[in-house]
Amino acid sequence: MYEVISLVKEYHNQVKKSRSLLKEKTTKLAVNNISMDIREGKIIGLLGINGAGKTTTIKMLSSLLKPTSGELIIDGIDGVENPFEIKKRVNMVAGGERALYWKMTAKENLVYFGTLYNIPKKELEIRISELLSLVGLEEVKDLEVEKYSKGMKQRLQIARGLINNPKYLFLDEPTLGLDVSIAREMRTYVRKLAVEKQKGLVLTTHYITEAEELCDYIYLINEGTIISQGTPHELIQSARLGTEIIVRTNRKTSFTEEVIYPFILKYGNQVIVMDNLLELRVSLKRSNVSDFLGLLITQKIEYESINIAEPTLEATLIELTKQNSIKGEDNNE
Amino acid sequence: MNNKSIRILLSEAKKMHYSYNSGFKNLISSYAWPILLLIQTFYSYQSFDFSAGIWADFNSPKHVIVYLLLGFVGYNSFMLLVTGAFYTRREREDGTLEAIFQTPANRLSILFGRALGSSVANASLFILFGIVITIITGEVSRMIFLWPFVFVLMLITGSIWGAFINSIFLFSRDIDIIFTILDEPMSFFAGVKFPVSILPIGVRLISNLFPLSAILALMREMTLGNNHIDIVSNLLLLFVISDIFIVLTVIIEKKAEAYNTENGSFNLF
Repeated sequence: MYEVISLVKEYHNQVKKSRSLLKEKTTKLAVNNISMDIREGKIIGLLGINGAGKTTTIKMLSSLLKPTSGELIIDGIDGVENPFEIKKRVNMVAGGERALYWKMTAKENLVYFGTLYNIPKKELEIRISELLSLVGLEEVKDLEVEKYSKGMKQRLQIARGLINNPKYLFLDEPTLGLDVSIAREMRTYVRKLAVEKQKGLVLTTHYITEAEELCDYIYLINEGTIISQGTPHELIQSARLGTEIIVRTNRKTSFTEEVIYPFILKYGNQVIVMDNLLELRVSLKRSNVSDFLGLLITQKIEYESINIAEPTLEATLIELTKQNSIKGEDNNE
Repeated sequence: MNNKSIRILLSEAKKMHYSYNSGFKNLISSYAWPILLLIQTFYSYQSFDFSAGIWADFNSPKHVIVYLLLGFVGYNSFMLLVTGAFYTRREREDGTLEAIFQTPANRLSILFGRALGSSVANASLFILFGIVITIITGEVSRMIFLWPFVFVLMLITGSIWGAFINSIFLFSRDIDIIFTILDEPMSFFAGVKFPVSILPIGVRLISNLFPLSAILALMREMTLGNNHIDIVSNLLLLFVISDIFIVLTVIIEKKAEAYNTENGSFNLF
């Protein structure tokens, strides 16, 4: 297991003063007291808006960044004191087409990185062959990377990330910029790595559906702090968002004040009218859905369609981040 | 250095060659530049009467051309290492530098491998200049034994110098000034186009800081002179300077890695 305890990262920068040539020293708290457990065979999601501290966290977990304070205990070893022990056990894959040598072939890239991990020659050959077949690049292994498509480069990145057979693999937005079908393919590989290869994975992504599909456990980060954590289901429950019901009229009638009055009486400001009075939206507790539908019938609303949607992880994360920001503003006041 | 470190070093050298130094265009540019400079310098010396012994080291036009050829082959090898170190900047922006430092590979093997990769790129030019010098001097049997030795010596010294420059480039991507410092000044202080002996003593002391000075003095003494005491003293000087540069490389690499892990600057784009 990889235990992360009270991780803090402060950046010390020199920033130009406005209307002056002088620079002043500033300190930015990028990660504040983050703790998490990464277990083999599980996928952990690290979600948050841009600048939340996800990449900084992943880089500290990979030993590419030194924490200001906190502990990294990897398989019982102190990783802060022994960063090379982390390097032996983990690897990181970032999204995009970087971290590869484009003038070299896929095989040459993997041989090069494998050698840096001191993998014996014969073992390396076998591993490269397995990895190329895992990511479906066996037939183009002798082609220069610059001739690869974006998706192929991304798959090669995954193979590079697995070259040292890491126990823990960190994926920083691995599907960034990929088209839908390749992104789906990539998600299949990621799932395979956890389930079949028993790797402990940490995934950062802006695609919430991806996190929902893949992650066993999610940490939601905002301004360097974990603001919520749990399984996707637990997170949705914790936000206490209601079931959303969207009713569209058949254009003969519209949701005038008079029509929606009984709904407002019952559900208050949860009721919203949109699209030139043609759409009624209401967010309710799941147990109240049938009650609402009953009211719709008793009021003889002629509707064209009714859409009942359970709260999504995306809506949950937006709500939780919003709540946290409001809390932060209140504390500042 | 153990087998693992040597394997990493060779792998790094191979990568440098495949990624940055191979290809016809690279080959042509690495020939064109030093040959043009050589022609330009040679013709600027044509107006001097060397038979009058104006400089102790030169006594004939043949002497001048060999002297310059040795200067340029040495200078080109060392400058190739400086330009090779510039690829560190590209690797920082491409994300490959971060991927390298993600591994537990021996850092010194990587730095020396990078330098060796750039040195090897100079091999064909070295052979060509060797042939030209042999034809001019007419000393075939001497050059056949001497030139491979000079090449190996240049490869080792150049790799030590290159590893040092690479370690400096680990610090930041914005240190283009290194190129400015090392281009013309190195040519001047190392005596690429004229003998250092004509310079004032203070300047000659600075000249000793560049390993290129010692290697050029050694190559010229072995090819044009035959003073064994001078050869041994230059070899010793080269050995001492190389040791100092190895120690500096170790220190700078450690500081650079600590700096980058503190600031997250292995990867900038």
